[in-house]
Amino acid sequence: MSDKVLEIRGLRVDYGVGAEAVHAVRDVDLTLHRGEVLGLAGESGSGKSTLAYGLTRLLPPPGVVSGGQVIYHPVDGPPVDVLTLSPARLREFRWAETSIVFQGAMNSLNPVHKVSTQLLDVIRAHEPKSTAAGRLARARDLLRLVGIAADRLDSYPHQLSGGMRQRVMIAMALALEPQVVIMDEPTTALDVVMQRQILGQLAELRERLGFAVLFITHDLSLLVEFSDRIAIMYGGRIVEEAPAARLYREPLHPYTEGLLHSFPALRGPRRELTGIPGSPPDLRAMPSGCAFHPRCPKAFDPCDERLPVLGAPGVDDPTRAVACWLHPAVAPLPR
Amino acid sequence: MRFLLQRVAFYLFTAWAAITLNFFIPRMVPGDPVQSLISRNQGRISADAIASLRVLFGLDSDRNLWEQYVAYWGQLLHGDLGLSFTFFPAPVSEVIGNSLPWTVGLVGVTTIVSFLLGTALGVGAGWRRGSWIDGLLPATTFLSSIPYFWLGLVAIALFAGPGSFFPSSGGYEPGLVPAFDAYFVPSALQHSILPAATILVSSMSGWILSMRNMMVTVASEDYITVAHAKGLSERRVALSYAARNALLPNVSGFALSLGFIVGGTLLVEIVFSYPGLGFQLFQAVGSKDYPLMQGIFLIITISVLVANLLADVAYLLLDPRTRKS
Repeated sequence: MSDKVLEIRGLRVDYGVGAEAVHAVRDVDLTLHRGEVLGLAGESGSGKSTLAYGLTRLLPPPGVVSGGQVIYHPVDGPPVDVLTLSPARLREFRWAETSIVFQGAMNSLNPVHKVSTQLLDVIRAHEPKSTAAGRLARARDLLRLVGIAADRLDSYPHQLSGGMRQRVMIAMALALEPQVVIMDEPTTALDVVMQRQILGQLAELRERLGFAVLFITHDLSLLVEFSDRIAIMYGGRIVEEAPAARLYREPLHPYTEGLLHSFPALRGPRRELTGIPGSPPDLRAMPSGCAFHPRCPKAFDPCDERLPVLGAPGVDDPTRAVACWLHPAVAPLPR
Repeated sequence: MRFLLQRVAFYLFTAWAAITLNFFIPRMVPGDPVQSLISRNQGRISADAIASLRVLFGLDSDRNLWEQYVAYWGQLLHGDLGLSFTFFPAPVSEVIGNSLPWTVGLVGVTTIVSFLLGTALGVGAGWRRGSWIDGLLPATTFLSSIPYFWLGLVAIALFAGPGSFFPSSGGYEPGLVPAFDAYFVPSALQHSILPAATILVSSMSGWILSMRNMMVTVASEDYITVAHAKGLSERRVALSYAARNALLPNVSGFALSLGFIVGGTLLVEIVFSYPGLGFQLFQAVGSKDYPLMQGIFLIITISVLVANLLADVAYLLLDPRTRKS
């Protein structure tokens, strides 16, 4: 297995403190390897975005990270726990090592500053010794990288289309050549044609620059095509994790199966769309045992009592993991 | 540019309308200064005296309203606002010229200081919610809900009086000649402290509150999260991203408040008998001094319009979204 770049260990994120706290992310373990695309999928409210905000320490109050570790492995140098970095070290870490493309393509750019200002200030903040001319040349290259004419540097965000704005954000995310790029529903606000274009471009850029991507979306069909591995989240926990193709062909968790049957296949024979009955769990009153059991068509005895742990379902298959009593773990989660 | 020209045209039209109204309204009000003099002397004025008074005030010519209106515009364009009735034979422009610096000096400076101070405190309060500045808010809001003049009266009752450092009225020590010398300037400053403090205390909290609330609103915008994620310094995020955007409504509010400098604090000037334009207007109304009233209204109108234009320009400069390419 290739080199690890980001390891999330037992991450817990709460909204609020004390007895009233809502546990939005519960004991999540996730490993991102160098240069891979890891997809993270789940319904709204499953904790995907909270996980992303938690691991970058960008949670708005009342969100708090209440436990766990986020280990980042730099190319050279010892691994660091992002959650314990001092504010100054955290500022250095941000964007230079892990950048983010946010959900709101429309609102991620400050409307009163030119594209150039917003692209240049991040370079200046992290590389104070760079020259103004050098920064400008870099900004031009970055825009060209995402297929935008360099003279757009002088534009204001409102003069760009939604797709262009998101491409500017991608260019900005790559400005410091980070090892990890987190994409939180980067194409949700765009039309399908633009989605394709941008994702195609992104795949190309990743080939060229070799950064790892944590791709968060509710659109599982997108992930099947675009990512190497997929993790499925439900009720704040990872319930299944597998290579994309295997997850698509033989999902183990009934929830994954439900998700896969909620959208039409792009290729292959026609299937019936079924969807998943019921609605996502209320985070304030989680069901006992497996959180999915009230909606699960295959629920049986232990499901409502004991929580299944995430683990490899068969000794011969260390690449995938599932948390389901139908496929009890025989080996701990591969790290 | 086109937008700006449209605005200028609009303001010119508004100015014309205001000046026209300014001309007609006093002439539609019953009574004239001679009448008021007659009633003040309880009719003990002879017919001859009345006739000569009418000539004196220029009320004798029997031109119709239209001719007067045309003549009024002619005078206005020459900067001639007529003679004041109360300060006869001083021309209105001279009376206004004497009192305008007092108002602009007192209210202008306090408006600017109050805006700068209030906005800075608002930025601090909005960026770090729950800090000590938030504790001040209820007090400042309470003070801002009190009318200026009442606060002025309280200030006079508390701080002014025999032997006090703070004079209770006037703009300078009686007997001094207005000039930039070592006697007059300190005296003028000393006289301005109480009225200035009154205006400052009651106007500042508006700026604090609006800036704080805008900061809180802007702080939850996506581009602020992005700015944090970019690893920019706290200072840069707070000033260049949050405050820069939150400032927009406050700046246009400020430009508008500049327009009210001239006429807006009439009551403070009356309470402190401050020799500014507001006090002058009060006297002019009392003695039915039309030319002076018209002159002051004209100044107020023009300053409000200029302030509006300034607000437009400021918005154009600060918010690229309003610029049309």
